[in-house]
Amino acid sequence: MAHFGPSLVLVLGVASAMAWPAEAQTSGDIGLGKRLYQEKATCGFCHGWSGDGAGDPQSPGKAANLRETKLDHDQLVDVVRCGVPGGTAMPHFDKFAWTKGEECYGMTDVEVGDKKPPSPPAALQKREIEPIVAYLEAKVIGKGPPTVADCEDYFGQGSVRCREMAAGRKE
Amino acid sequence: MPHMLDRALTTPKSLKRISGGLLGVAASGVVAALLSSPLTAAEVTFDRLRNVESEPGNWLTNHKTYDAKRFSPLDQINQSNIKNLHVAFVVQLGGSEPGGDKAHAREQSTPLVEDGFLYMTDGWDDVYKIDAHDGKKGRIVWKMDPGVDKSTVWLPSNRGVALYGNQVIVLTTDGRVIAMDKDTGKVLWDKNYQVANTDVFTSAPLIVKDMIIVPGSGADIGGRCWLMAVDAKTGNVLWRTYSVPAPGEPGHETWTDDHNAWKTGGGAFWYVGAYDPATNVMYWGTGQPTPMFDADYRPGDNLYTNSTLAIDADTGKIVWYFQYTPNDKFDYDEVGSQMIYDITINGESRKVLGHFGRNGFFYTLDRTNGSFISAAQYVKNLNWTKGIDPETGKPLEYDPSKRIQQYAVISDRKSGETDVCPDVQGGVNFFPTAWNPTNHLAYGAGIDGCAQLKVDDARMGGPFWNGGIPVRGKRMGGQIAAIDMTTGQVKAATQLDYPDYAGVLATAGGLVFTGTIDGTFTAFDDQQLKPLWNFNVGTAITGPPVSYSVGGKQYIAVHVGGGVPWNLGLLKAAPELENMETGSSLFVFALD
Repeated sequence: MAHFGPSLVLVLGVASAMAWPAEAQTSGDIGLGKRLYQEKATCGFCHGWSGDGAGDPQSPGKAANLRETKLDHDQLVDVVRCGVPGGTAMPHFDKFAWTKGEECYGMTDVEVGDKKPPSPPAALQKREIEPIVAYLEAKVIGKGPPTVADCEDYFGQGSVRCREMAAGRKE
Repeated sequence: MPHMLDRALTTPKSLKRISGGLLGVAASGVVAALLSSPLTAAEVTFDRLRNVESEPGNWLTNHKTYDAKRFSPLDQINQSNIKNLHVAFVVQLGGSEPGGDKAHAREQSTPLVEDGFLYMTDGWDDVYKIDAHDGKKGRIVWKMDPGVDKSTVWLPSNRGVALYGNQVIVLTTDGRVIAMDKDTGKVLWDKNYQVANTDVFTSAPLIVKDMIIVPGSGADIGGRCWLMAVDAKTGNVLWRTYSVPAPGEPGHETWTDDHNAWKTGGGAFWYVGAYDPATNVMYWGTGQPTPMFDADYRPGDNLYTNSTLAIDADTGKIVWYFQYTPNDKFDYDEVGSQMIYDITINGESRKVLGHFGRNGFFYTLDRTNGSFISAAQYVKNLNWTKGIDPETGKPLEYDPSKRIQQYAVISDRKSGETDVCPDVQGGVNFFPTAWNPTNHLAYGAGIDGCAQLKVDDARMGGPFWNGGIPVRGKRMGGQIAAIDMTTGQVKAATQLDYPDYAGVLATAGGLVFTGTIDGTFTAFDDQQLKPLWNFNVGTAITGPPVSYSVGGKQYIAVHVGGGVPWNLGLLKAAPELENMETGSSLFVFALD
């Protein structure tokens, strides 16, 4: 694929070649995934704590609304591992993704060229990617607009932010 | 009694001033006790704050002096021996731990120094007292964690504390003012002053008389910001002045939209202002209008955003204003240092205000009435305007009859992505500047480069309120500039390899210190700005350096860490730093 189009649909259409088998989700996975989402990968900086795409005001913006994503499990794993090529801010959280033997969407970094996604703020090991996806599937994807209960699930019971949300703060 | 010497290292006459205080205590027979253990520090009074020049070894208020000098009269460390400067000790601090939805805090604290003790914050609003008497190590005497609910924090920054009486005062990102005992760190009072949950504090407070002046920010999340005076003895609000006027107030007519944009109009007070005790007038810079990039949302000049406000300290009344970039669309807020000094123009002594504009120009204003005197470009890359009108001080393209200004760079909902220089972060942003009263030079350091800006009116509401997005996709550098205070023109400028977010310190040793995001801490000569010495601390420097003395010896101190190119949005400006780690430490340098 010497020629690369920036279409995410096209990219994700060939996405599943490198995915590995999904394991059963456990509450441990989900809890670990939440900690990784929140504190290590800091996904919320761009995607927002609720995953709705409303991240930090100083984030690059235009992050996907994960609550409404149509991606399946393997595609989510690929996107976390490989990032989204073509000039978006979604980084490849696997540091060695896109290298030979670690191709993404059927390509190496030579083939993707300057469309390669940016480096991550913190690199994840492969074993950390499944828990993040498990967390998204359990708590975020398809769950509708975030609720106060979601907020307390994320920040903890009694969080001031969630009390403010209950009082009408726009999240 | 080393602390006495430090207060009077270069001006022995100050011993006389304080002889009724500490020397009086010493004379009463407790000299041995004073020498054997660090004494309970004297109270910080308004009188001391007005006369800090007589305590050269201390750093009692954020800008060191009310006139925002950030100039240390200490000269043991100077051009002839700077090559021997080395790390004396390091103190690891908190701040690099995650909280809420943030990976770590940002470290931008100016340490205050009184008699060998340092008082400083980390970006989560923790306050530290550090004993630096030893000279070879720093000991944390106490830490006060204010228990900020980190889930509420959108910008984990704290630029330092104020000293008042026997108290340390800190402002928190969740809108509180906290006074603690200087000796123990015990909280004496803790009060929330939020009018709206967009009212957050990131600045250090300023003590004027018995008032705590509290600058409110939160413009970037749709706040309408204010400056507030609190009675330091009671905690009562004495006045609160909004930077964006309400209907019926002067200036409100410059918000000409039909959807109450003023209510979310911004105008944050991000950093400590200056104060002239002779007139009881303070000078504060205000931030950008909100949304920062989408001027179509808020037609009009948007007073009093992007302005210097002269404010009566007792009443909070706005005495005059000068607006730098009306109807701004590049985030050129003007919250940084307001330096006040006197110069001679055409044989006449003038009281002026000097300010490094985030928009790339250095401005000189008459501080008695806000009239414009001069402007000079100090950054290398500047394209947003063809220049500043020498009569009005406004950008040449400015047309007061227009509701939407079009400057030399067109950036609106239809324009698509445009290159704008300086970068949306500046120029000199809130990074503190300095001026040297002897050589009459003012120093500022900042960013030099361009942002790729795209207006996006959908990027509004909720936590955003930007109205667009800067890409910042190209390599950027920094610059440090010296301005001849008398002419207002650039005397020297040096390009830096990396953006500078740290601010500057000038010293009587003929030196200017600053740090860059690659972790390099550099001393320049104060005339040509040639680098004379540097040391790399291994993480980004975004805190301003200070100088103090204890035991008769001069030190240079700087809080490092908290900002990495990734979270500063500067990864493409410095791709080789992509693996830099954050951290939070106090570095202290000295000669042997």
